[in-house]
Amino acid sequence: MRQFLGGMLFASACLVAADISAATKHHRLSWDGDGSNSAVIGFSPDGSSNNPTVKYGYSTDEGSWSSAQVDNTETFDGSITSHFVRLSNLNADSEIYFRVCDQDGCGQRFWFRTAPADSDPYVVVAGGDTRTGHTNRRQGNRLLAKVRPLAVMHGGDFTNANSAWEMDAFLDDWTLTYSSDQIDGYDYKRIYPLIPTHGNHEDGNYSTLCQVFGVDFNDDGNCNPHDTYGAVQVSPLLRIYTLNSQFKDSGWSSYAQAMNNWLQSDLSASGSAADWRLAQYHKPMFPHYTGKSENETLFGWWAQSFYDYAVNLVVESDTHMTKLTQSLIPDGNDFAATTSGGTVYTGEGSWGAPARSANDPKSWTIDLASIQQFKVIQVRPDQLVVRTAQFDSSAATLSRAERDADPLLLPAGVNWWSANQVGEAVTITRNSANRSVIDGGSGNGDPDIALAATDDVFVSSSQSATNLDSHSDGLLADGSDSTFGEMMTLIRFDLSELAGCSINGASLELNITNVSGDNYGIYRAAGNWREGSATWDSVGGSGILGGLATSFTPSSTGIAAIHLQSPGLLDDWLDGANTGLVIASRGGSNGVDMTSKETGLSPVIRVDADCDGSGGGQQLSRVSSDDVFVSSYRSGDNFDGHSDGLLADGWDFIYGELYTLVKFDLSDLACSSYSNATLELDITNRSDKSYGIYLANSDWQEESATWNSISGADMLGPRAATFVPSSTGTRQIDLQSSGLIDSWLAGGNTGLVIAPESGSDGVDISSRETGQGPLLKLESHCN
Amino acid sequence: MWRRALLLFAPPACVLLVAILHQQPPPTPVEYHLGKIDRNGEAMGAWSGPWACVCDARTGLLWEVKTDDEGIHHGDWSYSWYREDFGVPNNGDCYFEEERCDTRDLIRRSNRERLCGTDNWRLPASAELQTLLYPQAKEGAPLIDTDYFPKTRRGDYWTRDGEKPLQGVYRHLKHGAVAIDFIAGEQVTIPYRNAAFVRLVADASKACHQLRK
Repeated sequence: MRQFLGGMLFASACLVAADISAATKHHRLSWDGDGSNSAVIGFSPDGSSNNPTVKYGYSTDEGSWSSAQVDNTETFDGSITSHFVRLSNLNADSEIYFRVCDQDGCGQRFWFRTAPADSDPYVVVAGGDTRTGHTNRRQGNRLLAKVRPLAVMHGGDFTNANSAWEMDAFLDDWTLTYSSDQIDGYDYKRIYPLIPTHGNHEDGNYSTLCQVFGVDFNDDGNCNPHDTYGAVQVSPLLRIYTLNSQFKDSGWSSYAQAMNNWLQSDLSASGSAADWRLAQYHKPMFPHYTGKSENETLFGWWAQSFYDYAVNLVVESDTHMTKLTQSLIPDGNDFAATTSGGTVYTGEGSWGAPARSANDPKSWTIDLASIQQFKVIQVRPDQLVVRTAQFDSSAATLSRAERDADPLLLPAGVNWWSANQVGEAVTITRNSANRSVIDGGSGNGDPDIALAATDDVFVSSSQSATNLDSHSDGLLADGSDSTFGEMMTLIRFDLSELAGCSINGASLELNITNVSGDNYGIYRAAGNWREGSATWDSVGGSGILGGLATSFTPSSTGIAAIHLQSPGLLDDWLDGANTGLVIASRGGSNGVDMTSKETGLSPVIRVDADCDGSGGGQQLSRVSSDDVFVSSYRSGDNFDGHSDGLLADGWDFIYGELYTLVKFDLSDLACSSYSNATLELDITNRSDKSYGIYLANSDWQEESATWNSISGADMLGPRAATFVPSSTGTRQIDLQSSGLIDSWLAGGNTGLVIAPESGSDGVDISSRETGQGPLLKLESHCN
Repeated sequence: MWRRALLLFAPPACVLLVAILHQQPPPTPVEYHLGKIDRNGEAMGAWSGPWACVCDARTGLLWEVKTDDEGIHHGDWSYSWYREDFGVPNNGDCYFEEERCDTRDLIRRSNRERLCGTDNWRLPASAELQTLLYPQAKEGAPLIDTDYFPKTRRGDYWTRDGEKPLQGVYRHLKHGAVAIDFIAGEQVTIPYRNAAFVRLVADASKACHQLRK
């Protein structure tokens, strides 16, 4: 019997081996025309492959498949032979299954998806510079397979020397981008269409793109340098322009002229065929690295056309870093930031090639960093959401079923880069002229006003009389849950800081810890409530739902920035009807979890407001930029980010004497006169003893401050206030009456020290890492 | 006869004798302040190679020389600034670490291999690194004597000077370290997370001590 089974297994193995047997390798797919109905399949012989053909169909039933002959064969660098089969007239939004067959049989089973012919959303990936750094390149390729995008934009510099040997290695590594699927009992690989770009490391051969990827952008049947630029109409949502920045070099002027004439003509005639226009090319107009020259020629060629024809997002490469700009408008020989609509530029190509020093920010740069990355772009009818995925192995893998269920879903655990002031996701909307506006972007470099929630709680229909404030699960919303039934999250903000301001827009930031593919509405709360008492019953259940401000799908963990589209929402709140927001399911039972201010990052409302010129005092608040405690018994230890938060005490058994240090970044304040200054602390462990608030005598940093480094009591400068933290909760302490604050704010702001006046009954305070960090509230009178 | 011969040959002979007696000593070549050191720490002639380090006789400092061999000292590798759990680890790119790279990695590796016979490699101070700036560099080349320091890139090279406040778009990161930009020779403060180049330095090296003697 064992022999029989062994024989069966051997026979099965032989059958499987025989089932996948074509002598081809390095299968690749490219788009050069209409992504909804065509694609180019490329592959190379793996030994001797005679008369290879592609068999393909719309199901895994190979009996129903059609056969397509090789219609182009190219040789790269004298030794890499590639066959290309162009599939046309495909059905839109369809799964295409195929195998390459030859004299040995048919090879690996592949499938890909054509783009939709309607406005259905999807995800695309954009990156560049895979030329060196194989470890990082492979990590990026594996991440791509996990993301399962509809298509991939590659910004050029595929290899370093553009040699056959290096291209062979690139194509080997590209097989890591395939996703593995079991479909109808067969092993399939999902393969992703690539839209390639010519980089400077391809300069030795301006036919690299057509020789390796089979693209024929101008559809003339020839492989030549004119195939380095063209447009791909992905769907009615998106048209992608690929340009050749290397035509700026001498000797290519006639090609440059042809390319730029074509671009102008195509933008004019076909640019409006899509809601969104993206462009990719290799060399940045303004590299963010001082070691690279600025490319004024490219700026002169394209910047104005991009603006005129509302190109929304440009992906540049070459410099080996990440960057994100404001929405830009050409201004003389440079760009200027604008909030009224322009083009957003991102990049700059680090898909393996060694990261360089991100050392040349421009006045219109939002942020930049030396990381290995590509962009993950969610394309929706009303928004482009751009994220930067850093390469590591932390991401989960999306399954085929998950992608089918939600075309915008992103894997959990991706190490997203967080851009300053923007966060992990940059949301781009369009103005009336279809130009890009960054949600929450201020354009003038002024930071938005960010207000943390003062009240946040969720309510449950199954526990309708229970108040769930500070619940360890944070904030929950769901259409139906076995424990809590229907759940809604309620959030409110203190807007007093915005009194007298003109509100331009606002977005809500939520820290998603458990994703959902369901859609959630953000509603105005129809009635008043408090987090300490709100229950399902007290808010009237779904009666609390007022007007719908916007909706969102929390498809990835991390900070989700949601533009609040309801006009006048904040103005109404400021007029006195500030009842906050409600997050509720709009159908489905896949819940979303968010952190509350008690369990992690608080919900934040980020407001783009003009607050200058107000007649009265302008109110400002700053969360601490540094906070830490120091201990006399552990005088060499740094306690930054300690789970106890901030401590002060006259004597403690473990720590001895304890001081808390707090500092605020006030460098953007233009005023020199303040009529009010209040320190707000969240007391978590009360004390009957008196504590002093002193101006710090010298500078310190939270990550390095110790009792020794601040020289203990030598750090105590003039005392600005005393207080007795006799109860837990928020405590406001007046600093202004000391008369010390103006000079402190105007001079060397080295922060504050909270130190015991006497006794050994300690006080515990939330730090910015453990909860609601110390807050400095100021009222200024500026000229 | 002999008198005529004397009159004929004596004056030129005297001139020749005087010229010989008053001949200038051959010019002594001016010692250049940079000297090549091989990877074992032995001094080398100015026209010899390959060399792994350079000793600067003016400062007594021994400097790492970059390579093009994709080894530890390859000139393209970049590093984030990281020192004793301070800074940002693993945010640059070299190919000799499993993770990405930081300044501590290069120091550890260089000390472990006893590059040029020494194991006290470190990041240079700003003032030390600025001593390598070479204003006579050709246009478009990095501001360093590339005859002695080949494979130097046009870019930022880290110094040991950290905890410096950041400005502008970097301000939210609060602190960074000083780098010397070998394009313009300027001192810049950039975030620890930046992937900049590194040229290590060692002082009190035996190799440099021998060369200076």
